[in-house]
Amino acid sequence: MNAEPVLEVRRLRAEFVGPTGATAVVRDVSFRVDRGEKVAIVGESGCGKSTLALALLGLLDSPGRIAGGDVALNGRSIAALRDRALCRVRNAEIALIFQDPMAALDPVKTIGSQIVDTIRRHQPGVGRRTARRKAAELLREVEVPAAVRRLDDYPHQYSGGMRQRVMIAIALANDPDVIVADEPTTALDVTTQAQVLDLLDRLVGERGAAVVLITHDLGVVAAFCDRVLVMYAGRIVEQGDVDAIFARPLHPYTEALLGAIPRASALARARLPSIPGFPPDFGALPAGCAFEPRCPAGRGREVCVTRVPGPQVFARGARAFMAECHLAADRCDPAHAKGRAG
Amino acid sequence: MAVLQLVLSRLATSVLALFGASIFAFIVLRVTPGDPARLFLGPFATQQAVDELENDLGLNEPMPAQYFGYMADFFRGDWGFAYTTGQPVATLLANRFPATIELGLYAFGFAAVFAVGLALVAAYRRGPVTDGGVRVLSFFGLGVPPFWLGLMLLVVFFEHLGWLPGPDGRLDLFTEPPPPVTRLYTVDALIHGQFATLADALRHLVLPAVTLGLLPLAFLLRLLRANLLDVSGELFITVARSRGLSRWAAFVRHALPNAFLPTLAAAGLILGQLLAGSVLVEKVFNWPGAGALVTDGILRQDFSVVQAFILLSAFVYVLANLVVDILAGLIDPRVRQPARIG
Repeated sequence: MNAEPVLEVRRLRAEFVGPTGATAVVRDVSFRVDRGEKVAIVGESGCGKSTLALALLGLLDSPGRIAGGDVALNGRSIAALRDRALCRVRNAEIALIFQDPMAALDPVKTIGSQIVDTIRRHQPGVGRRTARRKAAELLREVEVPAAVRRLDDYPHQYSGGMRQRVMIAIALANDPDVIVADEPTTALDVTTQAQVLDLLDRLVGERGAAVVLITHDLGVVAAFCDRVLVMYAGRIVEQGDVDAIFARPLHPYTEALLGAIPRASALARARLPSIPGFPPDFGALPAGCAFEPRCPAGRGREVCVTRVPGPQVFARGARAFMAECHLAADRCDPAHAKGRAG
Repeated sequence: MAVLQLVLSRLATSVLALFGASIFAFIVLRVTPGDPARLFLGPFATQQAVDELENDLGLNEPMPAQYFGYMADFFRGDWGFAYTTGQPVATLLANRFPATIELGLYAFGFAAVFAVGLALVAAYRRGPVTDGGVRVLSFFGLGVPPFWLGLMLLVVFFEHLGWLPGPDGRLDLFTEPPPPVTRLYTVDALIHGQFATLADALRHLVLPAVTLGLLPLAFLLRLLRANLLDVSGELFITVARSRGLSRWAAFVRHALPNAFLPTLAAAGLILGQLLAGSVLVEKVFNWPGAGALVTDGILRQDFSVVQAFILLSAFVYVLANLVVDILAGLIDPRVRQPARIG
């Protein structure tokens, strides 16, 4: 409980500036990640997850920008950092693994040179030979076969899974405190996905780094993470321990997400379960709860239509939970839950 | 090994291209109407003398025999005589062609250096000022007739300001040309340490090179800037920054080499064109290049001069593109190495 936070996000707001004005895509997001903790951010496509990931590293480029709030790394706010200092933080304190490994590496530079460059940029004292040895060591750690020889290969000579291993090696190159992984396995085939995730899990565990795993795969969350943040329309609508939230979600959206996991028994019914409707357009959000138009529990309720729900904190055992839902208190009631279960 | 293979295969295509160019030049010149023997001997020569000369020159032989005879002589260094002046073509071109090459190289250097520099700045600092500046320069460079530009530059920098020499060729009247090695005055002067001659040759090169180079500068600038903007949106640029590179470092180290590739092919064509010379610019600056010689040759149907020039130009053109191809292979691993997935 009293672990030190390595990453603390306070009321972060990120927006895109268009010809008609600014559209907020990340809206007052707050959360903290403790040292060595594994936190998942889940949500449908287009709910602001990737924008949040870029914002965490201060990498949001025009027309995107951070419009408010703060990201603190090891207690230091990155908003206050100048460009040079920000460059020194990236990869050394916080690293990012991207979704598409095929496009993430410079096609005209060798794999080795891209790893060596990453090492030497943050450790200028390290010589070229030493950095190369370290790069080979990293490639070996991410289980690229014939690591030394493959340092001199180019990205097009690597398969997708191998490239994502390289991206993991690059992310680990300077032992960052936090690794943000933005759907790191979405572009890979299923067997490769499991291998890459296991690898990431093991290497991160060995180093004691914290992970923010952005995904829409709840199976991955259950297997890999300690805590989960559920994101909808740019806000964190529920957060808490993975086990507890999976057992009893407080927010109807979380419940719907869990209900949308395909199961073998459900597949027999021929239709894949899904959440009806689509996430709202960021330019035309509902006046009340953003999920209200799709919500099985609150659709049409006056309070849900007219008022944006604020965060409600509950205690369950030793840990605190948060859900942004007018109905959360009712749903948290054990009697209510029992009624639903039966 | 891979590079050697690339060079050899490109060399083979180059030889084929030259062979094609030589046949084409030969046929075009033979089928154009005209009677070189009559031209050589003048209107008062007897028909018998004309017939005899035609026999001596081999003009009555079948075309293939003429072609192979010509090519055999060409490779032995015997390029024939100019019908009109009676001088050996090799001597004529040996004096003129290097002047054209030297001007073309400097014009290209000017265009390439400024195009790369301006494109980098314009793509890095996008905004109304740089965008507008690029647009104005492009329209001006692509729209202004070179001979007019040359005259205007002479009026300003020679007449009014007196900073640069007027249209008096490659050197001042009283400057001795350096001993011929390459016949490029700046190179020869440098080799022999004649720095006064070098400075004089350079001063004479400035205005014609700028005049000749402005159009390719504008063209390359637009092309490279567009390619840079394209590449700077690629994921690997964001990844490079997430590794700790500044925006500028990511731009120069990763965007520029990738943006170079599609620009290189165009640059090769432009270099070839510049080396083949420009009659109008040579006329404006009294540049003793091959342009005037060849236009005269065409007007007087002086086959041997024109044909030798076409062959030389084709050779230079193919050489320029060969260099570009090899350069592309050095930059882009995908050109020189097949994918080895694993």
